[in-house]
Amino acid sequence: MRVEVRLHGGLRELLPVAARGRGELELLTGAAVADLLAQLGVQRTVVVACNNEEVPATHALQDGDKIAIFSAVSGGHK
Amino acid sequence: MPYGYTGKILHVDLTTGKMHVEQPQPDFYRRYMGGSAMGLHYLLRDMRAGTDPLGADNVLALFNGLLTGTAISGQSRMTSVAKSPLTGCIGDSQGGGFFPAELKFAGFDGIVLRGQSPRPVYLWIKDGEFELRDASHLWGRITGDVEDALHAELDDNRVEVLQIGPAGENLVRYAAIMSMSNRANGRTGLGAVMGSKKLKAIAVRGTHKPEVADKASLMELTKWGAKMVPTSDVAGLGKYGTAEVVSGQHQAGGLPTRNFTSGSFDDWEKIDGTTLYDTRLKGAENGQQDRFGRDTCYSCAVRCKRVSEVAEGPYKTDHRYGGPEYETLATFGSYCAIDDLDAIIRANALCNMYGMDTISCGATIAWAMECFEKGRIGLEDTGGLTIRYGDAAMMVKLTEMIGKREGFGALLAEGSAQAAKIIGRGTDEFLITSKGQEAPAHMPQVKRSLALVYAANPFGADHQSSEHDPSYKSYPERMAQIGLDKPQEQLALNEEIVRYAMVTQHLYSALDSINVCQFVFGPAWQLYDTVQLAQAASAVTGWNITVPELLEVGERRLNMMRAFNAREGIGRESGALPKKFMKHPLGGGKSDGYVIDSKQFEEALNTYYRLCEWDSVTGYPTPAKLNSLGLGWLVVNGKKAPAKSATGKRPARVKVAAGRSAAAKKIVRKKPVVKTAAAKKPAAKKVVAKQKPIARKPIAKAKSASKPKPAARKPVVKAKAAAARRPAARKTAAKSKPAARKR
Repeated sequence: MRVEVRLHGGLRELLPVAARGRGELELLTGAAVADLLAQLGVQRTVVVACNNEEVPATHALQDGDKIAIFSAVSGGHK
Repeated sequence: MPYGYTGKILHVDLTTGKMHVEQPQPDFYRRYMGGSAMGLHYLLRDMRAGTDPLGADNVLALFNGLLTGTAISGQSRMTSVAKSPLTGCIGDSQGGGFFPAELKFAGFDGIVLRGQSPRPVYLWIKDGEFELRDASHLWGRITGDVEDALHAELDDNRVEVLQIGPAGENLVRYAAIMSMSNRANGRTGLGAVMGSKKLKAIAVRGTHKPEVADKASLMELTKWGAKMVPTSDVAGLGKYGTAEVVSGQHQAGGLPTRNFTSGSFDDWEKIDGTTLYDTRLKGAENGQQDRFGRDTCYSCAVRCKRVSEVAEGPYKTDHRYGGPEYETLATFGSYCAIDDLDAIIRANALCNMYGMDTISCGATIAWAMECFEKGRIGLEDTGGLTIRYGDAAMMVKLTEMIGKREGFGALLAEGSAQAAKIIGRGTDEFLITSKGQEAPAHMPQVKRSLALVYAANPFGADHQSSEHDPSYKSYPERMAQIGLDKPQEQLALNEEIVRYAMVTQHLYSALDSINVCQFVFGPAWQLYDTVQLAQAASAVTGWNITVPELLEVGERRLNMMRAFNAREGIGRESGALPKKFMKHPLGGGKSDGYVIDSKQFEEALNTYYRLCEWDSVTGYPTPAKLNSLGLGWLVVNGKKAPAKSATGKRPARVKVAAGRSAAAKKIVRKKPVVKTAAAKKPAAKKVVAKQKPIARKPIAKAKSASKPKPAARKPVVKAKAAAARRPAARKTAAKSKPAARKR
């Protein structure tokens, strides 16, 4: 199955520069969010939204899902 | 004198020009550790309730921290505290850069400023020597010009300059104290306090690094941090700045838009950190922005500061004025429905030139836009200006008018809450303020613990006074270090979330007392966790500092702030949330329909006051709580209060009783792994000597005969510059600066 991914902020560097954080990934049927993160090489603490809803790492993905991944940093200064 | 500190605090009376140096005992340092808590000690000791924030009797205290000036990341921070001219409550703000470290190299842990100078002056400090100098030639000039002028006048471009801009001179109620022309002690209007004292700047040059008890352990932590940055959770923060947060906030429905009418901004990508990095950072045109477009504070490996420039056009901007943080992108951007990145960069630069808080400035303009859009103000109020959402040129124009206090800008310079009082006509319905301070760009509708913190924080709405809700689930191991092990679901506002808010508030309060950067040290996503902070603090001082002790330091500082407000008659009643949070559900995006339930909020507030052990009706700290924190000297009874509040309310006097607070006791002790064999150093030798003049044109010199304050509880002595210096070898600051400043 294929899912659409959008990597935000510094996470975009996990994809080729030209992709600017956007891409499609091929995953095995039944793959979960954790599998996607492993395939991308995500090592930081992240927040994952599947079809605009935040989901845990165990969430099972479906063909055509739209995945957005953000760093968990919540601060904001000044 | 404890390791890590200089052991000296400079007291300056700007009315008389007299100055003296105090050398407190080690227990003073252990109790407060630095920063905000240390400054509050002097405000509470020396100021009377009802003091005019812009009068001579307001005390402005500037303190660095115990790690400041060492090599570890995130240590060059300085807190300013005074009574706030924006809120009438305690004022408190932190800033970074190089000034905090330079102040320590010059021989001081802090500066306490009193009085009002009859004419503009600046304070020049060099390696323990100090004097006031005429600043008439600097008055009215923007920050960059003043910095250049002082470098030329002092013949040393390594001098660090802390200053106010024209906004501080003009008493804009959210004027900032600036350094490097782009770093701000931004919040609560303390630049106006400095302006009211006619103190234009403090110029500092020092060459003496602080001595550390356990150099090996501190170096180990320092190297670990520098090595971990690229793979840590602050890696993106370093490369893309706080602006990285824009996308996540929008996704969560937490990007304040149109004055908190929505949490979703359709054009968020135009103001996002990646866009800023790709297109506006210095060097971006050649892909060299990592080299030229990022700046840092003294010896920090994170390098999160922006250097942006607009080369041409109506918003042409010099890169020396830095670049917008997330808060600035939001307040001048999404708050105002503006997606013009150049205009936001220009507004940010104007705030840095004039010395203003970008949060309050942008939020006040957004409030005016909503008032105009809703017909509550008109052309007769604005001097003929049409002020609508999305008008970038008007936003920039208003920013400059505020800094100059020109036309309608003079009213906006009072802050939105005061302006609403002056205008009336229901304009208060659109205020996004707590205690009169404009809220930062994090939405309590989406992160519910912030509803509590915005309401209860002693200096008004603040996003850096606690950890935000999502971190509880995301960082369970680190949260367990401070006794938080029951993460809750999003939007919960139950007792556990209240406890989370309180405990993390204590920790953040400690961070502002130890005075470290909250991006580098903290309970969740930061580079170093809480145990490592205790290790670093122990390594520097030689004390065995534990996590519970850190939390107690934070709780003590929070209670000192509460006590300050209580003397002013300001308590729980001041903690009302903006009406919009309760009455107007958010529209659009992920947070569509979100609103704060007033009954649930009040119940949470009751729980908060109970857990804090404060009076549930007044919100004042109880005598028992103050005593448990070693603050019995702040307790007054109905017989005779040392300072009568504006409302005549006086807390009860009780005897001082030492002891650890209940909240701190609950935390499991974890001993730092660093060696703490190095004991406290003997108290510094007290020497009374005449201060050496270093001025060419001094207008007021320190006098050795100046009397100690009658209310002083600590020995106050006058010190010759070199008298209290430790004999250990020191390197010059020129050699010690790991991170060179860019200009």
